[in-house]
Amino acid sequence: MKVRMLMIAATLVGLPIAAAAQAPNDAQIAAIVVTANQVDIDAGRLAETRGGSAEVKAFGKQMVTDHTGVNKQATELVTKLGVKPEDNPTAQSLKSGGSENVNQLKKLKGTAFDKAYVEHEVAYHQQVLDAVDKTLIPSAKNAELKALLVKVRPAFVAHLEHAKHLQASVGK
Amino acid sequence: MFAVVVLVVLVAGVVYAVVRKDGLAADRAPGAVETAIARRLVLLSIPAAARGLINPNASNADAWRAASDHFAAHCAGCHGPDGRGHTEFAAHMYPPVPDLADPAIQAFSDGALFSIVQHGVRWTGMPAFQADHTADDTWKLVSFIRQVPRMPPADRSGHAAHAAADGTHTNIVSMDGTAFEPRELEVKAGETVVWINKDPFPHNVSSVSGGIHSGDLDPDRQWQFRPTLPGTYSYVCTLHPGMNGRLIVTK
Repeated sequence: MKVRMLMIAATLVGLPIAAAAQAPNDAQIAAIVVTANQVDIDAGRLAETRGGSAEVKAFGKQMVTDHTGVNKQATELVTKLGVKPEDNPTAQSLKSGGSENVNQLKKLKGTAFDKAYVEHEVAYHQQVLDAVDKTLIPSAKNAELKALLVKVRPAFVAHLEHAKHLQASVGK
Repeated sequence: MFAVVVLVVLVAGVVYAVVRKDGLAADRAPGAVETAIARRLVLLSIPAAARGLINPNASNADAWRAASDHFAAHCAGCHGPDGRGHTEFAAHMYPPVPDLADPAIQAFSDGALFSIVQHGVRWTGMPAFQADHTADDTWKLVSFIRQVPRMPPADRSGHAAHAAADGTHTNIVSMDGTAFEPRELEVKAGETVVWINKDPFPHNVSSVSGGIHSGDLDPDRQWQFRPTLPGTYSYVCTLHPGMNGRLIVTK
């Protein structure tokens, strides 16, 4: 458990630092957005099959649907703009954090899975929102890319609220 | 002859067993086999000559526009202003009102669609409109049905707004950026309200009271509701906490 907390803390701290070192350009922002969504889609898929409670399974399914929708729109936009997503330290750290999480979650099932998954969802959405507010929206140059980030932000807030709500009820 | 009698008895037996088991209630969705057989029967019931008729407007790409008002007045009540069948009645009818953009419906010939609008379909909610339609009206509706899959969301919402022109006032609430816009809307009882999902993921419109329940609406989908009881109805999207709106219905 301690290791998990440390891991989450490390990703939490790691992202803003990596991003703040140098403001990402639009191509890097595109890669960060696509990766951030994909990480949550992967975790959601796991929750759909390994989740203990119906609420957690439904939440996982919704994360897959919502983040897939956002990614579809983001991909359509970057294709239209002719921007090629460019890998960068923030995207890489999101990706490795995501696969660490999935590997941990794969060892769990039922209520133990629900607790760990929901705890990570709360931390992860908080982390992504921080990045959206402090780095991605302020750094985005293209107006349409910025507008997309602004448009999807409230959904991430809703996901965070939803996950917090689940956190209070899970295993009780 | 004997074989025919046996067959008839067998079929009657199966029908009897199915009815006894599942009843004739409308609140069960028809199965894939029933749907396929029913669609096939509808087509078979239309004489080949009628099915083969060609739409006289076939070469006029804009003919469907002339049917917009007509569709909004006569068809949208069940089929929805965009023909997708997202209405109060659609999901609760047996068989459910089809999505006119569905490839299975679009696969019907022009003549078959014409015949269905003119004569209706027995054992479904589709009425016969021959008595108050000219053939020309109906052919334009066929053009409109052909246009349904090609209507972009903007055009569809524009079309919904268009329905206001014939006295049935239409109000639009968009679901955009995980918010209802406008968040508060005042309408008169009997007016239609259309919610349109402009986000890249599903939302729903759900109230504690007042019977506002859209079910999950995919991106670009819309749902309409015609409140009849005056009152104030708070509603939310159950998928996204914090996304809420209010509908005020006046006399």
